[in-house]
Amino acid sequence: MFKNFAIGIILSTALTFAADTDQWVLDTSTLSYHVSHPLHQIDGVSHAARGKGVCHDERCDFLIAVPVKSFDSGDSNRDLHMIQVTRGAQFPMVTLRTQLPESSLNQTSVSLDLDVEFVGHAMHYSHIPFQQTVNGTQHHISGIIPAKVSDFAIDPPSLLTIPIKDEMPIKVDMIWHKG
Amino acid sequence: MPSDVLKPAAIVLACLLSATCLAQSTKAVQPQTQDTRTIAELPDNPQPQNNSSNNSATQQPQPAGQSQPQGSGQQQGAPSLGDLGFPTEQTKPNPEEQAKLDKRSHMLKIHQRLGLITAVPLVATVVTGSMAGGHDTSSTARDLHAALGASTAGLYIATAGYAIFAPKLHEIPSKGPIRVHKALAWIHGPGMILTPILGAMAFEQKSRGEKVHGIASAHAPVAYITAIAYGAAIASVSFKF
Repeated sequence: MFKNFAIGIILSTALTFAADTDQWVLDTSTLSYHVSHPLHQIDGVSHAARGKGVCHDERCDFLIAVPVKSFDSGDSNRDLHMIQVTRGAQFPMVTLRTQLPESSLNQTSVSLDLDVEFVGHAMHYSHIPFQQTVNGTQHHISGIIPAKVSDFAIDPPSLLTIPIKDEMPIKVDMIWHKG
Repeated sequence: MPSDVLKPAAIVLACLLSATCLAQSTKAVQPQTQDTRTIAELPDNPQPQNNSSNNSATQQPQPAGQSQPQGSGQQQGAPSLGDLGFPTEQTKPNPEEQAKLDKRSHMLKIHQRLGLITAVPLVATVVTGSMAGGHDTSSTARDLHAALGASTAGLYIATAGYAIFAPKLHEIPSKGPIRVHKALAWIHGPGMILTPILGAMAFEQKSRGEKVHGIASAHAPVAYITAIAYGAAIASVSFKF
């Protein structure tokens, strides 16, 4: 009798815990930065991001990280220079953290507060709009982070002595599923 | 030593010295700040820092929001970088590689500046080349052409040296316009060696009152091909085709 009661307690506790803690896994992603120069428009693309989300107490914490070296702009020399100016060997990862209510996970548009760590600097971006489409178990999320070169104290690269523009929007396109 | 040799040599020396100084006046590689080192050494879940200890870069007002100390957005129970399964070598800071990248960029910036500076005497040499002929055994135009040509060759060697001796990083294979830029060096490189040699031979022949003959007569065509390849090399990394 006591044994059955104890098993029941353990099972119900485990189920309650499992129900309260959901995990999300990043399936595929495309992250791209855009920089402008009078002679060039450059997009550096990475598909190497990994991410995880943990929901508990009706709040969800998400972390996305991508290696700086994984961005490809189509020119190896430019990519190496990008790694140098962003101190990519010393700070190899870009991380992005956000927290949102669990109830907003199925909304078509979400406004996110993002903490981005890059080049050894942390920046907070408030109320960044993201669009979401839910297709079965997959959540497709996309948006643009209005980052600037100066946000991370990056010495702007130049070509023919003309520096790139300060704006460096980061396009985010991700597909998540509940783990 | 005759004065007609000393004069161009003095001009070449002055040009080389001033151009090298100009190219190297680029901002030296800045040493990393203490603050950024501190951030690099933070673990995945750093303790919130006192705002007063933040570095200056994170205190700049931003239109999108306020800057935060490193890791401040992370809550207890939130995923950490270690949860994502990246290999350690991918997430570990590598100061040696950063130093190599810094040196490479610094040298290639000088390469870029010197390359642009070299284009000036190169164009002037091509322009004065059309006036360097004539039947006289000596002429000011020919001396000027020779001096400009020698300056171009000297600056070119310095420009090439900064590219050749810049540290190589083999992990990223060459891709994009830089391949064209490097391929063109196989044309303008030998051209920049041949042109002054052929030019010196032509100069000697003219100085003796002879008509330019033999292999020296290839001086102008080789020079034109070299100049075109050099211009194309600059254009290949400057403009999007």
